[in-house]
Amino acid sequence: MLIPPPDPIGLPVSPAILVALKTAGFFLHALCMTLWLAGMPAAALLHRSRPRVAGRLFRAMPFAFAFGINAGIVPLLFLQTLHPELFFPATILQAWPWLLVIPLVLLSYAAAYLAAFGKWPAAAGGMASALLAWTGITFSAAMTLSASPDSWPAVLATQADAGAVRGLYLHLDATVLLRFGMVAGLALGTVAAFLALDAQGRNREEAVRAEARPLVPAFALAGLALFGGCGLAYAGRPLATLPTPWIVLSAAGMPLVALAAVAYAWKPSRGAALALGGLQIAAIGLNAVSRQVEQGLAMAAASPAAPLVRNEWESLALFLAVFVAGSVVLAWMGRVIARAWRAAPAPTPHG
Amino acid sequence: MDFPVWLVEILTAPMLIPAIAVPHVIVAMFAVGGGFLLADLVARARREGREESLRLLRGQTRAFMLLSLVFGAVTGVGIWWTIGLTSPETTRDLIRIFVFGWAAEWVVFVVEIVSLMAFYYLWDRVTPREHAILGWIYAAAAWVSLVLITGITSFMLTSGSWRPGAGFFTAYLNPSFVPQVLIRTGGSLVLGALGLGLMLSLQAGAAGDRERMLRRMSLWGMAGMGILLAGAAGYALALPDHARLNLVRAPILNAMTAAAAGSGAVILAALAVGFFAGTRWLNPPYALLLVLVGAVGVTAGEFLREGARKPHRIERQVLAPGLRAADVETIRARGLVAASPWLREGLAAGAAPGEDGARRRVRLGEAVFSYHCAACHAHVGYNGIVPIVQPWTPELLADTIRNLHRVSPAMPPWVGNETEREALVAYLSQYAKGRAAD
Repeated sequence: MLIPPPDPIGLPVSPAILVALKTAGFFLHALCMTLWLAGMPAAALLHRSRPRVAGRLFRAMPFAFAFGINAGIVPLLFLQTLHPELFFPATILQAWPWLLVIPLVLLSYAAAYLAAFGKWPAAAGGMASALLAWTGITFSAAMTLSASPDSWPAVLATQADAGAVRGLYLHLDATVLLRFGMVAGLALGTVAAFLALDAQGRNREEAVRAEARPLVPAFALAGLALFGGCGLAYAGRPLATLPTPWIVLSAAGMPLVALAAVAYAWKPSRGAALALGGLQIAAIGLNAVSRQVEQGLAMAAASPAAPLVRNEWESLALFLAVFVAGSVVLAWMGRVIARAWRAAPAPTPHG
Repeated sequence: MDFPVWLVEILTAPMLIPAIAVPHVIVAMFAVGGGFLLADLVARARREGREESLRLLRGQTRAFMLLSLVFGAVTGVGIWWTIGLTSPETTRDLIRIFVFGWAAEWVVFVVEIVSLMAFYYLWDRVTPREHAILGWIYAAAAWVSLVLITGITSFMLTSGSWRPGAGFFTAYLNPSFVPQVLIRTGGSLVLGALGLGLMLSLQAGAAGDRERMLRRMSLWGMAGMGILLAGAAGYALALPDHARLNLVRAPILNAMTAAAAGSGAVILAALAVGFFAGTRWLNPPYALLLVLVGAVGVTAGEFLREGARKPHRIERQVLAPGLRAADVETIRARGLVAASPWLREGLAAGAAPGEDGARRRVRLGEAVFSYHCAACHAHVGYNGIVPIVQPWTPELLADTIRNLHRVSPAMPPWVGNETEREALVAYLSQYAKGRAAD
């Protein structure tokens, strides 16, 4: 039994609160992460044939990175709070690939700014796309191995050196790749929704709308095919423990997104774009929640004992106070930003 | 002892932390101090209608935004990555004590990102008053995030009256919290002045505007140095006895103290020159040199903070091999192998068929070294054990291991049992050339 025992410090509040915050954070992260995961390669590929749309995508990337990386902190923070006994051993066994995520994200982020500022967009976008895909696979590997402590002894047997580990292992199996494929499918839907919403923005040139129109259903249908194909294959895997209602809910989103995308291409309008955007957000939300449900079930089953809960509310009160104060400040800034954007055409990040 | 140990040759795994943390701290402190300076300089330039200054400041804000949002944000996450890989026990405890402190910091990060992007992208598209407020919101948010994280890092050095079961604020408001906030605030203003000074040295512009900006930056920097010195005095008073002893005894920490003091003196003099002599001395090589001196000061400060703490990862709670201080006697009674399933399994995985007793003992010693010593000693490289023990005899080895914490205040107590101690002696004796002198 390699799973560490419960520690004497325990959780500050009930696990349900921590799980809810983890899920909310993962949802916010997924909104931005899916945009960069498929948006960056799409922009790099469309750079010559659809330069206006590609430019719009490139210019959105720094914002997606800024908020996506920031939101990604939340689920990892609460995962480490809830299940350190599973997360830390799994990442230590894969220490070097896991650590590699940091320079890869740094390079991708820098490349996103290069492309947004119009410097070697195809090369920068292409490189960032490859690095982001590898980062996504590494995340999938870390989460899969965290939920599979039964496989740790076998991994340790191949990695052990003087009783310790070298950390060169990467848990690449069909489960990992299928999970990544499902996220990539969802991500294509996000790009379709982004293109439709962006094309219907105020003062948008007709040429941008014309370029985006056929791409919206193309991305959504490709996303549905990838998501559906990987999802069907994943359903038979050992870690696919999701209860049936959640399977139905998480699977239902993408076909509706594809239908909305086709409807948008048939008759583009701001209403059709908003409907597509709303459905894509719902699809991401349902998948984010179902992924957290599945991960929670797998990790709870693997954990040897429920952690101690110390019911210490003072730190939660501090967080809520900062959250409320931050929300007030963000609301004021949102009002200022919205007024500025309404008053003038959208600027380029070239300043 | 509850988690696997990650072996990194030459550097040791924990030394990956400063490799990421030091550049991050430099950029993060620049992001805080530079925020105050930019907000102030932009507000003044707008009040006085100096368009040339605003042009220069807009260019600086763009570079500032790229550096803080890209490098600062990702390396900040990188520190968290490395501490989880190299000190999982410590990270688990810190996260479980401070999770909502980190969550609060996350909210502040969002405010930082939005305000900085709005400050840059909406430069000419909001009213001057709104633009000034956006700048000050960024500066305030960046400083609040500094305060929030300092409560956590200072707890590692001075855990104060906290014990398992005590509340969040007992841990957070620990004895070195206020001094460390002052040090970091002051240091941030200094680095802000140096960093923006470097940017200014690279920009062409009207002499009068550059002159005014440099004097103002120097003034901020000197104020920062004053705050830093007040914090350093409080820090010296708040240090626990074992940390003070480490600072006095360890030659590397003596050198770091000298480096921190020396770089502070050089920078203070340079800021005074900037204030009184204006841009006459300002050129890119000189400004870059000052930034590098500032980087030396931050690096020395970080080394002092981390080095003084040894062997504690969290003062009086967690010790360097990754075990709870309260568990030392229990583990010593059971032995490391019995107490750590990962060590036991890893050892079994390396067993060779037909292995004799002597070989098995050396292999056990090597595994014990990995779990008890490798967090601070590489074989050859950082704090290399081979050069350390080379002139020793097995007797000296055995005696030193038995009295580990008496040999140096930076060493943890020996926590293995007798068999494991003999195995470690057998393993290290391979490198002890003093054997010939027996």
